[in-house]
Amino acid sequence: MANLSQADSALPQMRPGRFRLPRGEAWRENLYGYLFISPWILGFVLFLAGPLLVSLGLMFTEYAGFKKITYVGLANFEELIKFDIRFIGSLRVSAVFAFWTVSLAIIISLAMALLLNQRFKGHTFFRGLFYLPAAVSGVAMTFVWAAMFEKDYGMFNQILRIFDFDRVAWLTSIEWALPSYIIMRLYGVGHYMVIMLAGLQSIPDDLHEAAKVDGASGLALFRHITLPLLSPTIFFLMIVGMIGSLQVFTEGFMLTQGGPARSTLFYVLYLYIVAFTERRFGYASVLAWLLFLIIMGLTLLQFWLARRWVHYESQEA
Amino acid sequence: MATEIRQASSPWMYRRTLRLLLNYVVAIAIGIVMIFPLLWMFSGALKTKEMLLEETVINLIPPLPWQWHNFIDAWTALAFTRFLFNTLVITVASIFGGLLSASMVAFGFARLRFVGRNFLFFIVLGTMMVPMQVTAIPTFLLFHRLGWLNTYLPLIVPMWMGGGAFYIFLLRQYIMTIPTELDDAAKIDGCSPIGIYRHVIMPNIGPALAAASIFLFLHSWNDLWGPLIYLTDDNTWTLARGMLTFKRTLAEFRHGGGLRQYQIHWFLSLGTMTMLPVLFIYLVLQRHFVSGVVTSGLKG
Repeated sequence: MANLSQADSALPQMRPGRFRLPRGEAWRENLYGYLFISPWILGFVLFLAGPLLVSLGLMFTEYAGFKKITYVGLANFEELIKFDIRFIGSLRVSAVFAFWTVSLAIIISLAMALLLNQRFKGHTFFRGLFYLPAAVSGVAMTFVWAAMFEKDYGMFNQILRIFDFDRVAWLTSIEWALPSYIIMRLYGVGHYMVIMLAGLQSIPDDLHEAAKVDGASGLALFRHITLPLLSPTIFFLMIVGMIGSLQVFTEGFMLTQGGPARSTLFYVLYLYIVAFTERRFGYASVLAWLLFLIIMGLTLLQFWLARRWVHYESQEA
Repeated sequence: MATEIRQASSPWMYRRTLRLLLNYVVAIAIGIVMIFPLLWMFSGALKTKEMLLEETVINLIPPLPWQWHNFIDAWTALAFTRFLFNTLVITVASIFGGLLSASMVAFGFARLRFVGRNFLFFIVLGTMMVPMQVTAIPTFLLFHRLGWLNTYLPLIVPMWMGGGAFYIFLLRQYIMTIPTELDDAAKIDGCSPIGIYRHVIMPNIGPALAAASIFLFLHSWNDLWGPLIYLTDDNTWTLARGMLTFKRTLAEFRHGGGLRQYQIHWFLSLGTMTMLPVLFIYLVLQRHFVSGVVTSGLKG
């Protein structure tokens, strides 16, 4: 937000109502300006605005990528609302997954950030270590998770075996498959932690000092100073985390492809299957636009909350 | 002053030491949880499958003899050398194009005055909201029409067009911290905006370029969605795409009695090999890594 207003003030000469075509030096600068951003304009038209419009149109059609394209009116929307069990299921899976991952990740990362914020000797080493799993997460790590969750050889069942517990069919049982994904995602909690730590470090020390002088205990400090001042960061992580968890694909496609019994059919996974396995581009566009609307809603919510908080802080000060 | 007095009193010092000790205990415990799966992977990559099944304690130092041939077996089970080559071509081209185009666009938005700049930059930020799944189908149809399926182009060309709003934003933020006096001095010396971009801006945004290239690298290295849609011919597959097929077919051998058994040690050796470049980059460029995450984290 702040950046936009900075950009505003950089352009004082363009007042509404007095618009004139720039000449001379200004004309040259306009030319250079558009020259420099031309790659983006091209990319925006070709790979964003254009496709966005096309998929908007595709929502009202049945299309498999061949010559024949059929206009079906609102049939795709009707199917979405009335008949599609897989859609409802995938929305539920993604919501449950997002809820648990995000809330647990926030609690854990907050604890980790508070720990590292003590600045004991070697805290940068530990920060690097805690972030390591988030840094290496990716397709290679997903591959290793497949091995770790494996029934006979996997790490988790090895550990269970050592402690004489029954082994668990992690990714192949309905009740454990989704929790397995949550564990997987929580391993990358370092990503949340780094941002949480930046939020903690932006809290001025003198507030804590002042409260200490007033005799506040550690818990009261946390409850009445740290937590309120950290709440913008926490809500930011909540929104960004939810958007991220809604878009889980690689892990799901690599490990379970939605199974067993659709218990891990994440929304984007379902979208991929409809679009590129079943080749129903029209219906998939409806699903894609719904995802877009959900993400846009979450982002706007974040913007709205951020603005409220900025306001709130400036009133306090 | 107050602290000095406090430190002198022994109960307080006792508490302080205890607390410090507790910090270390908790930090080490979390550290072990974080590093253990990776150590398990590294050690497992050098074990036989039977060792993994039978061992009653998890040996993080694999028992001798170390099974170095696991790496070769897994690597040659599919044409992974070919996949590595494809991945490298795509990754290098994406990083290069992404850095070049994103820095140009970022420079334009940060330094040049043109009609509609604010509005267009607002759009740039707005595009961050658009999930790539929404544009995937029409983009696929476009590349299909162009005859670009089964080439590297669908994975490279979009990166040459600004590389995505995130990189433009990241670089623009950094460019705005560079004093405009440098630009003015260059302008007086007769530099055009192109000269300023080349001789003033580019040499001064090294850290931002480093952070951006890390993310560009990770994007290309880990992308499964793109290769899955655009690359059906296994000559053009990337590592990620190859690993998917490895996971689905070759890692599940049919043994006597039709039992499906994972060649789990191959998983671990292949996982190790594909993770090493990422690990290396993280260890070498950790500072840029984290600063990039924080910048991107604060982008809202």
